[in-house]
Amino acid sequence: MLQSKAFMKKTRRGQVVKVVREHYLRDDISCGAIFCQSCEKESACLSSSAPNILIVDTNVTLHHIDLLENNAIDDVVILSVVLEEVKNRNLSVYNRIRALCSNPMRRFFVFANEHHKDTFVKTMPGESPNDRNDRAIRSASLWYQKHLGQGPPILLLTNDIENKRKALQEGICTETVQSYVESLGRPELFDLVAQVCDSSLAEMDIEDSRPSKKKLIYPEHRPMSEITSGLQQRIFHQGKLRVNRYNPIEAYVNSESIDEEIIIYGRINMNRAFEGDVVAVELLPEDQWKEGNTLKLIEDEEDEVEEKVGLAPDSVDAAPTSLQAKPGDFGSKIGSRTCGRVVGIIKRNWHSYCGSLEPMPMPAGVGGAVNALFVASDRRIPKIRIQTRQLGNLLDKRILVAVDSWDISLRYPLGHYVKTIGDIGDRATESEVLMIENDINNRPFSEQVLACLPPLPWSVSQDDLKCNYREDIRHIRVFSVDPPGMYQIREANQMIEEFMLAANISVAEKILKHYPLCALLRRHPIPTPKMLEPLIRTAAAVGVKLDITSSKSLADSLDNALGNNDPYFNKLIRILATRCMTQAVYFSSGELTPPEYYHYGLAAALYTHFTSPIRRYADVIVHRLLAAALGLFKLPAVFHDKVQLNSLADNLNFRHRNAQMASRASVELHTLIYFRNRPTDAEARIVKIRSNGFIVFVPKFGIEGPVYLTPKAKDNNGEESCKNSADWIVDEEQQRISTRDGKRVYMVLDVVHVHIEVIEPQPNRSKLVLTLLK
Amino acid sequence: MTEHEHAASVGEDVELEAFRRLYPLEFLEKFLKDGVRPDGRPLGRARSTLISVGSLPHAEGSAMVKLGNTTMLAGVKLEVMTPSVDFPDEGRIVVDFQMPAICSPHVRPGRQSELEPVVSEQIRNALSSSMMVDLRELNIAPGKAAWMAYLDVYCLDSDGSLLDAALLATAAALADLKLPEVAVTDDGKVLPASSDVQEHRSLKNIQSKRLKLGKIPMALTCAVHPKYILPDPTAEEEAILKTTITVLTDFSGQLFSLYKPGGEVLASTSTVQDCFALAKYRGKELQKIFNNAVIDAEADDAMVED
Amino acid sequence: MALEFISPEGLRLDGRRPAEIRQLRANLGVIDKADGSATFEMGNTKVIAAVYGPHEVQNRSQQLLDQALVKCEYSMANFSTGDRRRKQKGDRRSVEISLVIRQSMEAAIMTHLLPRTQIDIFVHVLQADGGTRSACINAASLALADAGIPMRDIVASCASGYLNNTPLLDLNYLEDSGGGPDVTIALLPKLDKITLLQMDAKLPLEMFEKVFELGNKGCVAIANYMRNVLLENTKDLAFARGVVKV
Repeated sequence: MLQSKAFMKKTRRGQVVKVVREHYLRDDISCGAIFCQSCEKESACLSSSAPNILIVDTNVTLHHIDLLENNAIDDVVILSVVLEEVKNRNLSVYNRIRALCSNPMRRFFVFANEHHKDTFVKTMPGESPNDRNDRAIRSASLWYQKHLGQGPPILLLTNDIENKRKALQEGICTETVQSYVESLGRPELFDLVAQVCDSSLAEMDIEDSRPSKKKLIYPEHRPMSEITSGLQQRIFHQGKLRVNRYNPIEAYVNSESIDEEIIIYGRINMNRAFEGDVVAVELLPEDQWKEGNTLKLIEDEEDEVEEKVGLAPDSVDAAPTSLQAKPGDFGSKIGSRTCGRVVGIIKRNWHSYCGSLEPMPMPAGVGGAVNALFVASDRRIPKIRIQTRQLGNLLDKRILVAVDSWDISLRYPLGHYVKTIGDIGDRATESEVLMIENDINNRPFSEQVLACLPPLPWSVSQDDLKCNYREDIRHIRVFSVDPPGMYQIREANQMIEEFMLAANISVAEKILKHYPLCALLRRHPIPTPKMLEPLIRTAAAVGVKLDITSSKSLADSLDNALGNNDPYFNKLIRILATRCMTQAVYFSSGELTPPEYYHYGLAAALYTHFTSPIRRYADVIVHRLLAAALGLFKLPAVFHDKVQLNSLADNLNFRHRNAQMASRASVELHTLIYFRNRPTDAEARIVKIRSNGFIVFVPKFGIEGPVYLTPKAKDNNGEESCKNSADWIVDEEQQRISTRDGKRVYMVLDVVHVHIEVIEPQPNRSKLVLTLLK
Repeated sequence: MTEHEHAASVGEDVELEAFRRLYPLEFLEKFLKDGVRPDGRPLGRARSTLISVGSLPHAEGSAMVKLGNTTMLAGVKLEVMTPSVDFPDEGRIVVDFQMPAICSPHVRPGRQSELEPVVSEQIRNALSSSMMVDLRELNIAPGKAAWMAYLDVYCLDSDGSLLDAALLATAAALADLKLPEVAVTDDGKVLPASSDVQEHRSLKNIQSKRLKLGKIPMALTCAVHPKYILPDPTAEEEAILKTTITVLTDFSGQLFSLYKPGGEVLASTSTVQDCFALAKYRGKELQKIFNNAVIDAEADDAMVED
Repeated sequence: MALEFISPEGLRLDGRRPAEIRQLRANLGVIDKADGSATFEMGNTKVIAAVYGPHEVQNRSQQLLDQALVKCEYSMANFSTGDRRRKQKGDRRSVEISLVIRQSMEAAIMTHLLPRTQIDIFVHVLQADGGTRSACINAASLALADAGIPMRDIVASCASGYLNNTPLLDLNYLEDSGGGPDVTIALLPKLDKITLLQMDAKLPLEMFEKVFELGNKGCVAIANYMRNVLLENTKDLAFARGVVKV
């Protein structure tokens, strides 16, 4: 039987065209039951001894994949309509469900309902794609019910009320995931069930539990139609929400429709948006932009901003404090920046997060479900409320938690426990945490990927030797030298580096010449005077004048900054200079104008990565471009697709940044472990003066953190007490802090001695602390 | 039929065929005298007419028309265009009539038949004088985007009255045309309706629709013999009589234009009036066939969607 | 992510299994004025072919004394593809396909029986959805048979390819654009002779054998279908002429 599918598609030329595809319906598709009398059984796996044969709908698959992955769930039919929807909505869940279906240890069967003549359904006039797919799921369930009459009962799992109602009407057995899991009588599975807002939970966070007085913490999100028209009229602005890594109650949205970055202060204005969500933002009235202290009014103690001791930053991107204005910092004028609030979430970026439960006393009684608060290691993520029946097991563990929903009446989002990674503080556990946190995939390569490689053992074949674009250079002595980090100005003085740079630059020139619109290059933006301001101010305070007109002049003036009898002075200034700059990034040449291609750090007009294709994906891309430029291979199609090429460059930058973050986090982890039983005194340099102390850099260990001159305390109002700090006078211009009597004076770049130790203010929450040695 | 009878009938066939070739006019007149045409129809009738729409799923609108053996296949492909400054809210319809080599032994490959541009032009005139389609119907975003409808009519079998069949196919394809649901950005970029709101700011969806049609034009070609008027002539009749008059009206009989491209017989006023009367009759007949075909198509709409 | 042309369940995007042909449809005698004609559909690919002749050679200088002159012209309707075609008649691809069709047909027509005559084969693509070359050859073959031109055998054609490590029969447009190799075969099934073999993209030899074998099987299946169509048509004709009594 033949059906046809018609839809519209955009062509490469930018035209919208009608596409028609054939859709064949078959009568030879197996049901997958081992006990079936009529179907082919080669891939059958559904067993006759199963209590139920489960059919799951799309949302159940998407939201309860953690549950499905548990061994307790088996004999599941995955419909092709569900797979297709899951694939479109979340590729990672799709890969997980595919892995389940191909796992011989599990009994998950894919039923191609969309190509089965008895289960295919046509869209009815006016029917939405969602309704049509729900109907397809019911049609398949009904078919199974009839087809496997004498086998285990078929059970459709859906949490969609309307779908459930219709299913019951049509005579299909159906249950929600919650009630099904309850019926299994296995409490450990409960933790895995995704949480939707229910009233019993809501009461936990609200003061007045009378239903009529239900307190709404967050404003409602606007309906999608209003958002769409608001975006069109430019009342709303669309962009990705980026939460400040060092101050999670502050976020930024960059939108095409407005030049400035929009700042979102506070959780109410962030209105339940997560890091990475695509949101619609409304600007606040301009008079509210100036309310620098709104922060304190909206937020409560739990979101306090605290600086930690960590690895010294190596660029602006990694620096917590140098650029972003912060309340309580000098010279921060919130009023001068555009503020807004989130009115709707266009696309969620929810996934699983690593972290641990907030310490809490064990409740009386055993076995009951307990509400606990989960704190993600990534500070940008709000606390997540989960339900667990294994609190005792989880309190000292790093766990993975997935978010499910966030109701306007709940301060925190709801989520569910996914899995335990290991004990808090354990080296292996914490290492895995930071891999997960930075989205670094350390799973083995998939079969598909490995299939791209020739079978092992591999040796050079006759064909390889005959190949006209390869040359046998085995008779030449070849060695390789790993290139050192390329981010520091004027570090490339050695010959190998020079060769490498020359190779990279000449390849960049070649590919740009052949492909002016799609060459993958690397640029290092020229730091703006504003970015270099803290450096100049610091240098001026110690009597050094820096010329920032070009990278050359800056390098020269850095060479001349020698300090008086201070061998470390020059190095310190250089370190401070580096961290004023942003990192170099990959980009496609068609996206920018030639002056923007400039690599500031290397003082090169053009640059790319070419020399290390076995370590960096960017080099592989550049190799392909070069091969095409030399006429050896055809240019792959991706280079003609602007959108795809840009997302490739974005992804390279994203992965690169994540890898650096992970590597920094790993060093920090090992630093913490090192100092755990080893309190140490060391020499440190002041790099920044603060109102209540200063930031020091410890060259020996490469760490940096605050040293408080006045004890941090809170008065009755929860406001940080500033009484003591009044005893200290801060001179911003001179970058110095001194006591009123002038007996103690600290200046930027001064040498101080600090004590480094690990304290544990709360169980399982150890941290590094620096104190000044008198 | 016995073997003998069969052989005899084959023999008659051959004789008839020879007469037809050697004395075509006499052959024709012999029929006309008896009040029938060589293909067996009454004098004043058109051939059986078949319209089926939507036969080309790839095209946004399509129709196949059979007028006796004459076969036309029309398809509409849409493209997005920037409207002209003078008519910022209007799209365009570009009609092209083509006779590929398959359609007739007289069309030589690689050489354009002179009929192609003539019929194309006649269809264009008929569309504009009938105002069948208000070009504003093709508007997407005023001044920024509109639909350009390329309407290609292919003659697959050429057996007379080509304009009649081609115009009917044109009208039916336009009636079948469905403008797809699309989304437009404020700067007038047109995208598939399923496009992600997330990737593009400020998308406005424009519903799928059929065109509102005004008066539908039709043509009736009549071959003129000093004594008879033959509506909807076959290629053979056209070749024998050499004189034709083509009347363009709408289904209700309102006259748009007349063609009489030369020929031996000079048409009197009464001849023209007779042709006009035949066209009026034909209009009623066609209207029914046309409406049935298009209504069928609309009923199918729901089923084709996916 | 690369398109998954075959699901792990072994179904192609349109629901076929790897070795299945699309739905076939053919009609004979569709053009009254032609000496022979046929439409041939392979799924959404639809072509129409007409044969005029044998007739006198139009250009005397081309006349062949010992055999018939076979001419072929291939064209495409503007609305036959998703994106409207803009190419003019006689572009390189059309010329190439015209040649391919003519050469495939010449191998089957007993041209020596019709000296000093001309046979015109015209093929027009109404809808293109992959495999147009094969559909054209099949349509032309049926049109020649319909015209009663003496032939050694019918010519049946089918394409096969290789995607996601699987040989696939009768690629549609989407699969054809998948970047894999594409082998078009035309076969004289009774004689078991290949008259046409075209392949683009590289393919290791052992893979080629599998793909080729699959394409060959496709041709045999299509030839059987064509034979049935011709048989049914002959029965109908015989009935209409009164040769066969009911």
